[in-house]
Amino acid sequence: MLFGRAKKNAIRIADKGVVDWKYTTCGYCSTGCSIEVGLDKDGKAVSSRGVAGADVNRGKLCLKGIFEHELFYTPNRGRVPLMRDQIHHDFKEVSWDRSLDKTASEIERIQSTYGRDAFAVVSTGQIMTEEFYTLGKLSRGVLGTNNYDGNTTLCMASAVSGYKRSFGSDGPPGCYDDFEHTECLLAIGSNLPEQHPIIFWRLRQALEKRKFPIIVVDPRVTMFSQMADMHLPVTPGTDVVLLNALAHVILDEGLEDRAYIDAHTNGNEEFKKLVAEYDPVTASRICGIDEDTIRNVARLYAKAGAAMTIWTMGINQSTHGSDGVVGINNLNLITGNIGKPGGTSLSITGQCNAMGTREWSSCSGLPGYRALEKEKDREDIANYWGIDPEFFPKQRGLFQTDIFPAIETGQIKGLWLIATNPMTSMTNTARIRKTLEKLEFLVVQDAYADVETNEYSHVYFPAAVWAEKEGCFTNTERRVNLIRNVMPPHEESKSDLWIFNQMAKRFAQGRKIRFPETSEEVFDELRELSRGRMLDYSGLSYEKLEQQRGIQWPCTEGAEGGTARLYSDGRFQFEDGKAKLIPLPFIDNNERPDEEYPFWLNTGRVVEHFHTRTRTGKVGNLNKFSPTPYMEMNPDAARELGIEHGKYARLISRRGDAVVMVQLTQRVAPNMIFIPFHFHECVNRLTLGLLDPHSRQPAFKQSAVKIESVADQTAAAVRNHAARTY
Amino acid sequence: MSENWIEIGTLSDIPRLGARVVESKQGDIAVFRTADDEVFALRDKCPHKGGPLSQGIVHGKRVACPLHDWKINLDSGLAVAPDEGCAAYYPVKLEGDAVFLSLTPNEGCPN
Repeated sequence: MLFGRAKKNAIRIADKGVVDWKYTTCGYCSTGCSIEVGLDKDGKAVSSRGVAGADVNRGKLCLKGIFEHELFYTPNRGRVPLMRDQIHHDFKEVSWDRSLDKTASEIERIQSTYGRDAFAVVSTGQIMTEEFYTLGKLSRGVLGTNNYDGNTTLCMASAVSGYKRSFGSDGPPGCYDDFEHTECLLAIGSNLPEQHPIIFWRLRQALEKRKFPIIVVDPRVTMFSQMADMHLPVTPGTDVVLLNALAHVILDEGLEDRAYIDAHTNGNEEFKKLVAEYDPVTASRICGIDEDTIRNVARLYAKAGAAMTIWTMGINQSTHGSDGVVGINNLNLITGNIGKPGGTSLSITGQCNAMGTREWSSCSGLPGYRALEKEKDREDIANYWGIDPEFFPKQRGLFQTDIFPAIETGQIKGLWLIATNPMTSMTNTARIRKTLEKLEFLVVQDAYADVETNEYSHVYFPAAVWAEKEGCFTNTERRVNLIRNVMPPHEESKSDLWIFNQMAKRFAQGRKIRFPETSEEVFDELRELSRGRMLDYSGLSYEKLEQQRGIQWPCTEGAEGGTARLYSDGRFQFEDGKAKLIPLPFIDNNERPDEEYPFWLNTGRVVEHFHTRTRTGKVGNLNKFSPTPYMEMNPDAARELGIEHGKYARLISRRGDAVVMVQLTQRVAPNMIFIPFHFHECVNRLTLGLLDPHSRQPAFKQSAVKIESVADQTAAAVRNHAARTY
Repeated sequence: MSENWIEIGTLSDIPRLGARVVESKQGDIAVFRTADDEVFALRDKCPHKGGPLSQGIVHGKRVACPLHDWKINLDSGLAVAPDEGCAAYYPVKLEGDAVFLSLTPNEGCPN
């Protein structure tokens, strides 16, 4: 023990020999931390630190950011393009020209044989906004495929859908500064300390100044719930019922903001009628929260001068994800908590640039929050790009979670995956494996050659990572942040922008359209296309973004800074300017525990890892803290099954099985287990992934499993090790 | 340099690898003790954004500002390059166990 020592050891903090600090933005989650990477005299990146003047993180970094400079030196980076004719052949190293030519000719073959939509593109939330826009121009304007989506359908599509249904548009209305003004914070399905440590720090800072109640809704006793004032352990997948019940109490007791409802919403009568059915007694039997608690929370929330709700995957990754978001918006609309300091519905996004995908990639339509369904939008973009408006489809095509079944059924024959890893990230791994085998052609574009999905590719494009290129991200609070280049790309890897531009040149239509070569030139197109729109970028520039350490859109031309909140004037994005109160009947379609599969399976994150560990699994200082797949299991339940702490156990669902190490903890209920989703051949072998009808987002956190003790612990260890080889 | 020494205590009053604060008309002065029992004094204000150096980690002959990790050389008050700036350096001398602090900062780093 430190206090027992007579003489303290000298502290050694290595002098890394930094001679230059390079400003950029963190490339992990959507907090949007400004970071400085320290270069030594040889130009090697040796250190990272937070930028003090950036309002987002004010000099702080989480563990992933502190070691982010090590990304440039991680093993198994893609060096050169790879090609093979069949997925069972070995790869050959080829030149960029050969791999690009092959890909272009395969796209042409597939599209001319089976139709334009038979070639699908699935992207990510982790490349630059300028790269997303360029990919959208390529996919929509050159290839013309309508089966184009981002992997944000796995994490944020429910938030997008819910915002659109309630407010008429995507775009989180709040900001981190709302923590400084709120009088009540409700967090649903968000484990802020482990998922977004710096946002959590901002919240803690606000609590240091002024006490306000924190209410956490989560089936599991998360780190967040342990510091909350109230923890509501809701039955998985039933958040909508709880939200309806809260609205019931508020309306029944006359606690609503009647003036706000009358002035700024439609649908109040139908909404009121529906929530009348969700009285606290009825709701308590479905969602598992007792009626008194429901009443207390409703009163606390409604009587607060300003109240805000935040959420993440616990809401989104559900068959009721979009409804959950609408339910949160309903709650805030009836209490007048939209667009004012401290009053908001704030979706805490996952990937560093999921927002960039939503804004500019054209996955859900056309760039700048434009819709394929609107003739004017099609004409605007077609004119700007210089193509025929008839080239665009008149409605959106398949989402990622529908693209994969379309491959299964043979409608889609070719796929281009960009910085996403469905072999680990999508539910029901066995099914995904079979699906990928059916493709006639698969291109994988990633910074790492050993990304699991590359097992099934015919062509691999090595991409630059993070600050080996330049561009922008948009964070959870709509702040556009600049990523400055710190390091040249690894060996022959290229920025995604370069790859997209080279691909476009190989098509006749692509040679007619202008594809700017630098990120900054592309950014000028974003400014032009967003002028006068809700997500106005026209007042932004790279220089200004760097100086101000990020600026929240909208930022009109000539404006000094950005805009903290949306809808402050109470005018929403529907034609009549009013938001919609939408009734949400609850139908429980989840797989539920039963006699044969008696445990709920819950999934989530640990602080050290990011998504499928493609990057963080290779950073020794991160991986050593959470090196192995494990499950949290209740000690009482474990005793009944003869399962011991620190031993391996086998989990079985109707889809497959997994072997994990057991951590006994009271953080999970006796009929529940929790497994972090980061590991390959692990939790997603078990998951079902029913889809939300609006957003097509999978329900990752509602599956039923059974647990068996494992006699041969050595064999189990070998198998568990395989789940973290990548 | 004019003599302006004041006795501020004994070496054992300063925790090893830690600091104590002396208030003065010019502002707080942080007095540090290294692992090797050397004593240094700087203005208790980081040249970066004013963080309290007395609360930072002392390592070697440097202290890390607790706010944003700027490292300050104890023997000069200068920030470790490439960061620029300095915290006023106050001469310190030891006579036996007694610690004497000069209230006149070095000319090279007067603020």
